[in-house]
Amino acid sequence: MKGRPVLGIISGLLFGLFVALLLQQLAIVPLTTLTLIGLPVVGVVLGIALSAWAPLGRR
Amino acid sequence: MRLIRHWKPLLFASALLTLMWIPAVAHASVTGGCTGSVVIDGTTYTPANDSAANPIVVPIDKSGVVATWEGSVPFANTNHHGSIGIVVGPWDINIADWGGANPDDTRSANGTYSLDEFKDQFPVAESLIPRGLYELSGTHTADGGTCNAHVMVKIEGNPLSSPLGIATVAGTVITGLTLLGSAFRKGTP
Repeated sequence: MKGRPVLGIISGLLFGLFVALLLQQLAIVPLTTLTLIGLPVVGVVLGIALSAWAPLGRR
Repeated sequence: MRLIRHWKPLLFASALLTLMWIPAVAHASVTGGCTGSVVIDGTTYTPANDSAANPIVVPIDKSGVVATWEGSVPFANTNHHGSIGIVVGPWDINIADWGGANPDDTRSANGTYSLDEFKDQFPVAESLIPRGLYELSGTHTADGGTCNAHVMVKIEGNPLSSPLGIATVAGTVITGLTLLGSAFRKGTP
């Protein structure tokens, strides 16, 4: 891991939760299993991927 | 091995596809032959108003709105019971239930319901009631059969007018930026 995996996992999880809430608040999608569980899982995967790739910062 | 070498773009593509797929699978339905309708603020809603794009709209900011409803079941309705709840992820939070012997086998009912009464049920001020889209799940069982239903209800209003809406937008931005921070290489100040 070249980036910050712990930060990626935690922030990805919370980001997914907030996106699920935002979609519900904007009346786009209700809080279904797919959004409430699926989006945080996608966020965690995204966090791990971003920290593994780490395209930003010093080389 | 070509696939393994390209795991990063594949991962991002699958995440994006998941996001795009979610609105398409949100749906609702009525089974068991039960029917019903409700008139809210001059608009008639039926079981056809069962999707995120076509929900039952509750004008929470208006006062004095009365919903006129009617419903019926196609089977023997003695010894009936039922409940309705809000779907929150894999859970149903029960908000109402009913039941009784119904010896006369009444199979239809109608009435009115004040939205002000609905608002009074919240333990917070009207402006703090969370806006947005909700999926309601209900069931009605009697001696003659069972009906299950899922409907979409939109509590109308600007989400940024409630503290939950503001907190949600702020949380999304902050956690999104933090997520981006995980993409910085270690040692980067």
